[in-house]
Amino acid sequence: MKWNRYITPTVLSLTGYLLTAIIVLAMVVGVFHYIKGSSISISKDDRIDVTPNQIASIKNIAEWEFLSINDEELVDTVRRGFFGDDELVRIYYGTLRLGINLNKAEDDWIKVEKDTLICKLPPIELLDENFIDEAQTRSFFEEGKWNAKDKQRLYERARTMMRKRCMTKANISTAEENAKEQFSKMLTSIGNKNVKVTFEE
Amino acid sequence: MKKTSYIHALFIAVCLVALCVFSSCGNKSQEQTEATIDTIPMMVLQIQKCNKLYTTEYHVHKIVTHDDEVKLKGSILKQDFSINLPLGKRKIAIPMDVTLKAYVDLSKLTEKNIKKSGDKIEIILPDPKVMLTSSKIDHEGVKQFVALTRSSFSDEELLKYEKQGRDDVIKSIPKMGIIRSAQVSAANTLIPLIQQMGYKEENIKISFRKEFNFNDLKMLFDQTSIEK
Repeated sequence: MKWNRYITPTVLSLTGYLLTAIIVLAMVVGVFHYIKGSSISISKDDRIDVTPNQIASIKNIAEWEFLSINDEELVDTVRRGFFGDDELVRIYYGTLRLGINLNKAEDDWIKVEKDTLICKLPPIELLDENFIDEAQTRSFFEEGKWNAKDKQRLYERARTMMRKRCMTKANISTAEENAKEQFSKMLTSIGNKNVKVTFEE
Repeated sequence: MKKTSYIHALFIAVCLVALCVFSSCGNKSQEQTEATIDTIPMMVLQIQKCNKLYTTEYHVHKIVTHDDEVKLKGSILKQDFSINLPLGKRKIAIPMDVTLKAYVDLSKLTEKNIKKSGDKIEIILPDPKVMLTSSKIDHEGVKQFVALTRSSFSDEELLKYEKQGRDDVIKSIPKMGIIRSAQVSAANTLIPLIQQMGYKEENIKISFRKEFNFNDLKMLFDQTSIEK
């Protein structure tokens, strides 16, 4: 029975370790189960408050659009500093609408001469000077602090760039051609066989 | 002697392999540099011929406001909780102006839309549509309050709120009555034009496909001005 003296403590210690391991495992599983489904986070609400939309003005207009140009411009500004430069880069979106304003047409802009309907349209122009959808602007890069004047300057620059890019002779001429084509088509479909469309000088 | 030459040959071979590996690595990095994508979006210039008669213009003014508070949110044992953290508040008010215009797309006007009998004429115009043509932020009028413990509003955050304000104006279009104004204004523009062609005012009838109800009005917003 000499062997029993050595084996028994070993078996006992092994059983002890095993039991401890099972208890620890059960505790881990229990804690995991308890935590599962629980969450904690720091957050902030990004939604705006509900505020009214006020109609500031209603206007009857007579703007006839013959060419629309969607444009986007990347505009940036840099402020040099001792410890490094500040930079703001924004992407502006706008749609320039070219056409005629019928309110600017002469009184007898459309008249019948013999068997021909003569239509004298006012010159093609940019129908609205406010063509940038500023609320659609995307912020591309920002370093440093920028005030209202800086942002207004960027907006004005984007407007100038869009005007320069889109108000070309080629685009004005395309709008004129399309105006002639569309007016002739429309007036013919109303029942006028001979139609002549021209533009004011 | 043989052993020494074998070692030399082996050394040269190792050097060549190493050289090849390094040179190929160099090429790869060069290729990677060439394959780098320019993150600056391309300038898009989309030109489109059209025939739209804009008849009504609405100017809408809105003050977008936002209260910014940091919260500790979560759930423990399926119980949700939300606690305001004492880190300080941020508040902002952004005034903005939006221009909405209603138009009739006359490129869709065909001979089928024109009915003539004797000296009378009836024109059935295509459905009017509403478009957001511009929006402008009053930068000078923006008011903000930021607690010392918080960082000021970034440009990206401000633009996010402005975009939400714009979307809110679009949602409210059906309640504004702009479509009815557009229909009346379209008739007022076209009747003098047809009169000049020799028709008497009482013999001219401008009509629309149908009377629009509230659900139809939601469909009459020009989707092209929703998202860029």
